[in-house]
Amino acid sequence: MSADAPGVAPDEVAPRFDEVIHAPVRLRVCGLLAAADQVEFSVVRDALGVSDATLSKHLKVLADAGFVEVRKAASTSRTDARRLTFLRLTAEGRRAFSAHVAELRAIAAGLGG
Amino acid sequence: METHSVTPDPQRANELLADLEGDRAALAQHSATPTWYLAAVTALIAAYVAVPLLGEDRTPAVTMIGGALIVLAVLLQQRRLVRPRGAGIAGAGLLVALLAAVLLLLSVSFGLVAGGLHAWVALPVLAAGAVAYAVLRRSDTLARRALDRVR
Repeated sequence: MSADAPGVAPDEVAPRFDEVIHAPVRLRVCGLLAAADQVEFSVVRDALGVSDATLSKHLKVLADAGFVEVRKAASTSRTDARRLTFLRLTAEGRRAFSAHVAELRAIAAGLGG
Repeated sequence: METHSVTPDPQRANELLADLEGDRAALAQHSATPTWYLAAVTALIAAYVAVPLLGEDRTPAVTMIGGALIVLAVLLQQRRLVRPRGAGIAGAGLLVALLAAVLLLLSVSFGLVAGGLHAWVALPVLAAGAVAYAVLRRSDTLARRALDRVR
């Protein structure tokens, strides 16, 4: 597992199961956000095949846990006043996600659980 | 707060990991640098290398090219729905290489103009365009590979 937190070498992530991240939708949200710096709400929604309300609910849980930041930005491609919503994993979120994936890998390899 | 505390079995863990891998493919189509940006930046860099042809009065042109590059960068950032993470050392190296190549070709243009070989400036201009395009495409490829490597 490649650790994204600064100062942590890729091979030194301690596996740790995270109950907040483990929910299937939230795990996949974190997986998408871990791959980039920021991802727009609609991209995450469409990739996961969930509704706006469902995704918003899970993002609130992640934000309350300090794992995700939500930022509104003006859009140059929209003709209305609505803004784009960009999502980003916090440093804590990246560490928690890395640790959780490490735990899943250990379980998958029959070493953890 | 909804939580999932049941530790998965190995098969379920594998399924979850496979889902993560598959989701990243959805990001790839959004993370590529748009063709309009590549074309515009390539043209501006080539134009910059042609600036010696303007003689002493080249400051407005250089200023406009610089301003246009900044505007393009801002537009790209605003329109991108997937903003990639930093390019890292490889990306920085590519940027330095591009800068060095452009400055070298610019100096070649100056030399050609000083030698009265104005028509030959087309060569460093075309070379600058080609180098800029190649570097931007390579940078794009590196960013998408980095996206695939995330675990």
